[in-house]
Amino acid sequence: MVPWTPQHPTDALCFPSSLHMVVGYFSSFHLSPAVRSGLPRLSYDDVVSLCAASEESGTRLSDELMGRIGQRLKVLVPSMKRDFTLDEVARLWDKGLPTILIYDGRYLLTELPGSYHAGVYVGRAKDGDPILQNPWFGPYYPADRIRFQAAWERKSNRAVVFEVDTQTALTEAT
Amino acid sequence: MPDSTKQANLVVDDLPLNRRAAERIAEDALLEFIGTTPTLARVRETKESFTFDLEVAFPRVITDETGEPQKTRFLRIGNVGEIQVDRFSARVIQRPRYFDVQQAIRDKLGFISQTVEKALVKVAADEFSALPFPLHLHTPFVDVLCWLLTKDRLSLEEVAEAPEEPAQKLISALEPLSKVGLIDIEANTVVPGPILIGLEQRYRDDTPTQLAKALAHFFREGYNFLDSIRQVLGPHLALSGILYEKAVEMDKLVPLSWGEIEKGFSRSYAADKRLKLPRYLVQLASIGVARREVKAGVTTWSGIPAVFQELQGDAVLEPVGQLFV
Repeated sequence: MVPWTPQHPTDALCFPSSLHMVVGYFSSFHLSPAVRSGLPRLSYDDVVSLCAASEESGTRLSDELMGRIGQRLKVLVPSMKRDFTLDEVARLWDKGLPTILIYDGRYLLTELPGSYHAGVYVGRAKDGDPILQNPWFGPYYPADRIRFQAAWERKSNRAVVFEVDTQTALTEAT
Repeated sequence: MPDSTKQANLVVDDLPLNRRAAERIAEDALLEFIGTTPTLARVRETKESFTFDLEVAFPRVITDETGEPQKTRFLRIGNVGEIQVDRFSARVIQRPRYFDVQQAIRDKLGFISQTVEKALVKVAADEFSALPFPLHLHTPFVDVLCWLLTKDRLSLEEVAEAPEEPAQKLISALEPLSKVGLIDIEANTVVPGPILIGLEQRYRDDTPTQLAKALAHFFREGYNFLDSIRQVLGPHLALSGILYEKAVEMDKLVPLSWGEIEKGFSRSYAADKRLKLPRYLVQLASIGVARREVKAGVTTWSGIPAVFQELQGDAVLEPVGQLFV
């Protein structure tokens, strides 16, 4: 289960909210005790600070940020992908690895261009619609697949994926 | 076709960059150096470069009475800069600085807050003038008005003899008061203006009412002197601004939790003032600008429907209404 973290009243903090959800999942619900115990306990404010996020301009998503997050989370290795597909995201989810999807949040709602928005993929409906923990609206937000793909494509199908660093997890656990 | 020609064609096909490739380079720069809020918009193309406008449609999440999100609206901040990509080197040759973009967004959000506060001061002038009198004691506006109501005239030479800081503050209050007809300045002497004289006539011997009505007039007519009015209404205006700004954004009164109010208030006031936050809210409720509701054990604060209705109809608010899409 990926616990939902809302981003309001700070409306530009979708990425830290999504990261907080992912950290919440790995630290409380991941199957491996080594991963659960290896992750530091981070408050929402800790995550915002880790991301150096701004209430105005949002989060600067870079390889440097991924490195910083990985260093802090120790047992998780995040990396930013481009041209990712929902199939790849689903395969990771099936392995117990949630992914943060970066898409055009406004376009998904209105078909008008807007800023980057982040949400956590938590599965798919029977018809293939992706289900997201959307920091704007709430948990288990089903998005129309066709529309979502258009909104995601507008932002080059970016995603932040997480891998478990098993060796570090085991070392941390002992 | 000879090999050398093929080779040459490959190079020509490969360079310069096409628009999609340039867009990706600009996107990477935007995300890495500026942030997730702006987006690439209109593009201008020359033989040498692609220039992408950066625009912001700032998200605002609408919540219901329990604080649960319902929908998202977008605030049209507009252009916050541009990113230019060189077609031949495939490099970003120009982009705005992170802090400039942040400031541009902050300015626009600040403009909304200011406009809501101006309109609020104007439509709720009578209510604000009824705030408990001792709260205003240390403001130069009240000092000038009280002086004139009780001593008829204020000599600027006398003011000049006072310590520098309070004297300067008092002098800075004269222009706004004069502009709204509450005072006149004649030959280095401040005297009651036509409005204050009228109030003295109407509420004879009732100095507290004369002062309250004078302040109400100042708020109603002098709303453009927002910095001056903030000196008088300070935290009360900031707090009511938070309640009504949210309502304006959402197009309806929205109950705000303590946490939301405190967060908004902390942007303007230091921690020591935050301790007085409950008192300010209670005082706003007592003058009919805010109301408290408790639902399922959760306390929320919101504006008053009549004040909000008047606010929505006020012309001062028009430029803000155009920003929401």
